[in-house]
This record gives sequence, C-alpha cells and structure tokens, in this order.
Amino acid sequence: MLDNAEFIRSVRGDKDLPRGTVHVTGYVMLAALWFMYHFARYQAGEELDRLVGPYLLGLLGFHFFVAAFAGLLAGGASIARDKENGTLDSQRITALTPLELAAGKLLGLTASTHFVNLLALPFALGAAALGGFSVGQILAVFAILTGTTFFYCALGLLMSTGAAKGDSGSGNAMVGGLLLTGVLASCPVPVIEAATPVPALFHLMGTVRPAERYAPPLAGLGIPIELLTVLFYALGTWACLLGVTRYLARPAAPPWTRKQLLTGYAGMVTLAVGFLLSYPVDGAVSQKDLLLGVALFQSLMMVALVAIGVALVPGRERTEQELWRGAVSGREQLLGESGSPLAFLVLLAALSNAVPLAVWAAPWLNAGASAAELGLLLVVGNALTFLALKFACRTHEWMTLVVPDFARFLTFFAMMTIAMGPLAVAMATTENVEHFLPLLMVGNPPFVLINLVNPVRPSADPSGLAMLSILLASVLALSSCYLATRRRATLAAQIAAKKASLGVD
Amino acid sequence: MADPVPMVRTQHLRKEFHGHIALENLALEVGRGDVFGLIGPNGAGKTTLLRILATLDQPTYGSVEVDGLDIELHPQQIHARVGYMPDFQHAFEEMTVTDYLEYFARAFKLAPAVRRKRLQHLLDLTQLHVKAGEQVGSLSRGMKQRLSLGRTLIHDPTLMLLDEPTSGLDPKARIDFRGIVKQLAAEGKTILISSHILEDLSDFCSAVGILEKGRLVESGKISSILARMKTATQLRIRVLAAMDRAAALVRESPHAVSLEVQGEWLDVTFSGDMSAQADLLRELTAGGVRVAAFEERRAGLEEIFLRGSSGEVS
Repeated sequence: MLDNAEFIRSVRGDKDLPRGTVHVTGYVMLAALWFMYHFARYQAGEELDRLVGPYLLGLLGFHFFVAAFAGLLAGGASIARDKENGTLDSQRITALTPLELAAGKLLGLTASTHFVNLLALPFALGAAALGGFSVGQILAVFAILTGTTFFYCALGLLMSTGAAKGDSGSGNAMVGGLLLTGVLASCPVPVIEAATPVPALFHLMGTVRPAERYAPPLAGLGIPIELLTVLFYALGTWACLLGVTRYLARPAAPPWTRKQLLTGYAGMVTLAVGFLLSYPVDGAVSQKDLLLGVALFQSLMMVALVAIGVALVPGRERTEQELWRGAVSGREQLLGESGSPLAFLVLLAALSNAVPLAVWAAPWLNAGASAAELGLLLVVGNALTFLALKFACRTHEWMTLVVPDFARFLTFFAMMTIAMGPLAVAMATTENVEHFLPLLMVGNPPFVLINLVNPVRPSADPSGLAMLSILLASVLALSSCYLATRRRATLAAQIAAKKASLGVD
Repeated sequence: MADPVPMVRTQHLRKEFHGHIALENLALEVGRGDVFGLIGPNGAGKTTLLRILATLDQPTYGSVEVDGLDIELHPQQIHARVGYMPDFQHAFEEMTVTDYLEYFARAFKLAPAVRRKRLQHLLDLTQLHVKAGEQVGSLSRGMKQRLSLGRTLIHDPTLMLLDEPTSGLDPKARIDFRGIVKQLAAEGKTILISSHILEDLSDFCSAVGILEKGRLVESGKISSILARMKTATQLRIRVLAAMDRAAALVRESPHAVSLEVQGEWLDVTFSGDMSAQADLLRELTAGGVRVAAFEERRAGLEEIFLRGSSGEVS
C-alpha cells in the first residue's frame, strides 16, 4: 500500500503548486498600501511625508502581537505535542534535569519563534533612514521584542503542560495568554501597566503617547519603563519555567487544574475591575472610558488571536490527508461543513466587534451606566468573544490550508483591519479616547495614519477612512478566500490525478 | 560476605489512579544479571510497575529501590542506570535514525567520543546502519522497535525495562529481537521484561513473576516455581507397533496419572521420578513394544501462568 505521508510529501513539492496565488495577493496588498498612502496624503497634505519614518517604526509595535502569538502558538504546542506523540516520557528519563529540559525547550522555541521578529527589520531600517531614529532606540525595540518572545514562549510552554494534544495546547495558550495580556495591558494601574510592553514600545517609538502617562508613580521614581518591562519579562519567564520544571518532574501533579485556571482568570478580572473602579477619575478620564478601553483592547486581542490562529495554525497537512482519503471533497468541506468564506468573515467581524460596539452604541451606557453594569458587560463580552473564537478556530481552519506563506500575513492584516473598521466609527464619536488610542494603533495601520495626521483627535473625516479601511480589508480578505479555494481545488485535482495514475481508490 | 543489593526491590508498593488500585502491596526482588519475565493479563499492573521503576510515575506509597537507590530521592541517578522501552513505540518521526540516537546521546550528556562509539555500536547491534540516514517515520514497525531498543541502550544502562517489546511484530522480527535480548543478557545486563508471548520469555528468562489484580501472586526462578507447584511430568512415547499393548502397560503403572493416545504417540501425565520413568521404559520394551521415542516434556511458563493466575485484572 502506498505510504500516505510519503505521498503527501511528494505532492507538496511547491513546484507543483500554484505560485500565482502568492503573486496575486502580493500585488493586491501593494496596491492597497499605495492607495492608502495616497489617500492619507490627500487628507494630510505634505505633513505626511515627515511622518513616514515614525509610521514605519510604529509598525514595529505590531510585532509585539506577532511575537506574542507566535510564542504562544509554538510554546502551547510543545509539551502537549510531546504528550500526544508519546515522546515526553523518553525525554524525562534522560540525564537532563527537569529544569534543563524545560530551559532547553524554551531556548529552542524562542530561537525559532524569534525569527518572526526579524521580519520587522526592514521597517526598522526604513524608519532609521527616514525618521532619524537612533540605532540604540531600534536595538531597544528589538530587545523588548526578544523579551516578548521569551516570555510568551515560556507562558505557552507552561500552558502546554495542561493540554493533552498539540492543537489544544496552542489554542489554550493563545486564549489564556491573550486574556492575561489583555487584562495586564489594559489595567490602568500604574504598576501593572508599567510592566507591560505596549507603553514601553510606544515610549521608544515616541510617535503617539508618552509612556509616563500610563505609569506616573514609577516613572516619577526615574525607573525607565523599558527596564521595568524587561524585568517583568525576566520574572515572568522564570516563573513559567519553574512551573514547567515542576510539571516535568511530576506530570501527575500539573502546575494547575482547570478550576485553578478559571479561579485565576476570575481573580484577574476582579482585580482589573477593582483597579478600574479605584482609579482616580478626573475631568479627562472617566471609569466608563477606562472600561471602554479595556473592552476595546480585549476585542482587539481576540480579533488578532482569531486572525493569526486561522492564518498560522497548521491544518494544511491534515486536510491534504483528508483529501487523499477521499473522505470529503474540497468544495464540500469548504461550503458544506464550514459554511461560505464570506459568511465566515462577516460572522467573525460581527462577533469580534460585539463588545466595543455594544459599549459604544448602547444608549444606557452613554447615559451613564453604573460601574457594575460596565463590569458585567466586560465579562459577558469576553465570554461571548471566547465562544466566537472557539467557533471560528474549530470550524474554519480551512483558511490555513490554502493561504501560503506571505498570503497568510496578508490574511492577518486583512482580518485585523476589517474587524477594526467599526471601531473607527466608534472612536470618531467617543470623547476622551486617547488612553486607548495607542493600543488600537498597534495592529491597525489606518489608525496610525489618522493619529499621525492629528495626534490628539481623529482626522476630520474619520468615518470616511473607516469605510475605506473596511472596503480595502474586504477586498483583501475575499481575494484571499478566493485564492484559498482555488488552491484547495488544485490540490484536490492533483491528488485525484496522482491516485488515478497509481490505480489507488 | 553479605548478599549483594538486588537490582530492583519493592516493598509494600501501592499505586492508585483516581481511587483505582493498580498495584497493591507489591514485594518484588530482581537480582543482578537476572532476566526477569513479568507475566499477567492485560490490566494486571505490569506497565504501571515498569513506569514506576523508570521514575515516570510515583508510587502512592511503599518503597522502590533500583540498584539500592530510592526512586523518589535519586531519580537522576536512576535515569543513568535504567533504560526504559515503552509498549508503544513513539519517536520523533521527522528525525533521521542517526539524529534520533544522537539527540538522546546528548540528552544523556555523553562525551563526543563516547557518543560516536555508542552510536556505531547500537546501529550495528540493532542492524539499523543501513537505515541510518532515513527518517524515523519511514521505518517499519520492527525497525522502530529496534530503534527504540537502541535509544534505550544509548547510555549503556545496567537495568533494562522492556514493556511488551515484541508485541505486534511478525515472527521474523520477534526472533531477531529475541536474539538481541539474549545478547544483552549474555553481557550481564539485568532485564525486566513484560510480554504476552510466553514463548519469548521462556526462551531467555531466568526468573518470572505473575501479576494479577495488581498483586504479585508468584515470583522466583522458573525451576523453583515449578518445584513449588509440584507439577507432574509430561511424557511423550512414540510406539511403532502394538499400541494397545503399550497403552495397557502404561495404565498399569502406578505413576501414570492420565493417558492420551494420538496416532503413534502416547501422551502420559506421569508423577514418578527418573527411576520410575526408567522402569516404565523397561516394562514397555520387555512387553514387546517397539519404542521409537521416549521423552520428557517439562512444564513451561504457560503452565506456570495458567496455574498461578486466575486471569483476573485489577
């Protein structure tokens, strides 16, 4: 009988696959960037040319998410996949101590995952050339990104100990890491927020908000926020490593139980809400604004998670094997089991925006809701988004099969942008948005442009830009879906032909 | 001179999984250089015992010593002494055979020169040198089994724990595998091996233990167990003519417990000693029976297992 895995390897030889998909999506993306730049230039006039350098460096902020999610994905799969494949036991009974084994896994994961940060290098070089940033500043950004990679790999590794299979390990790590990061990065509590990388990155980039605004007491002590961030990463990485070590020494007693995990999350949310309620409210910032910021950031993280999840989670091989077995045709799986691509995107965008849209649109909120109501909304919103996330990840891995290499990142950008569109509308009509504005800009180039044009308020015609962003993202996402479908059909045809030539049913 | 410390010693060993008792009050001793066969039905606790000895699982209570070291207190030292081969073979499928062995050689912190030497030796021993550059995923089941054995031996352990090593192998692969285990036994390694295929064990085991419902119901040298069981000898007698006469003479013997005639063969369950056997042979020939073969068939592991075990699982 023909070896299935061997056959899949032979079919996957990229020379046989349609490379045109990569080229077409690349052109679409370049055209979109060109169009966006000129539209923004039309809005902002010559001012924009001066801001291109900071904008390019600002894109490095985006890599915080890339590094974090890549680390969570890889780390989450690591030990869980060893358990799934039964290879963990043989490693545990070597001469390596549990700490050595854990550290080895962490170093290996970080080394491979850190590669994605190098993708940001051209942006950094471009910024240095155009914007006059110092080499030291750029190196510091990369140092923080390295720390980010280390920490999230360690966090993923720790979460991986609680999963039985690689895929679920990645999923758990992404969701868990996301919630943790969301809560930490969103809390306006100085000590917590100072320890998260987002303010530090923005501080380094110097394009939007001074980090001191988010960490007045610590900044007042003269401790550089970058140092705090690195310290936080070091401590967090060490704590995760200890948990992994404990697990490897005695897997029967995992670092946590599901109950502990839920309790931990509930505790974090409670803390966050408590801190929010105790935050000194002045004329500029209200509790409602802060909660809105939290909700928006959580939503942003969720969308990023879904997007990068469907873009990067390995599912292609599995589907190729399904095709090989003839269990289901490509079209049936795509349209029958998973629904249409368009429906998926609309559903995803709608669900991922449910929280901020509800916050923004509910009349009773605008009329002044109580803190308890807002807190409830935050928790329920998180739960709903979580369900949406599970739904999206489980039923729509088709995106991964077909979107190759470069186009995967395109998909990420596109989905991020389409989900951010309604937020642009919300921002345009919400007062006191500056405390969460930087966070939104991290993953959303149109907003970076808006802010560069007018650092305090959105541009005069934000809804126009928002609509443009939705339009562009829709075109990109749909073209990507179309190309994905084509690639899958091509694969199915190739497999059928190969089977016919071999006389295999 | 004091008795040497046994390679494996368990006392009052108990293991529970979520309220289910997998091992109960287990007292086991395996001497140095012994090849100890662990037999018992599925679910009897064989794998649990081997995993505990390999430090992969912790006992609920009781003491477990390997080479005189407590497994809870000195797991790292025990890793250096023990090679564990699980019942299901798992490997890094994408690695080549050489890389796979090299990976574990490094994990055991072997010096580069020792590493190279061990690698070469194990590739020869397992006859995998022709597959050295191939991916583990492309190997047949028998080859993967041999690779797993190679991995188990990479650090030259003194105690080997082999869990159902020949399960699922074809006859040729089983014979090859038995050959390798015999060679290791000849090198003086202590081997604790579990198997459902009693024929494999009887080929090279010097001692056996029967596990049932998590308890060790019988343990010791095969000859001692047989003596304890006071088993009757099975005689096979081939008669060329006068079968009826031969059968009648056998029945007259006071030591003949039962008799079964199968073609030219008489299968006799015989309770007498060697002298009584000689008497029976003399009476047959004196009675005009032409005896072509007269042989004793000793009770083996199968009988020990059938007699010692009721087949219940824990």
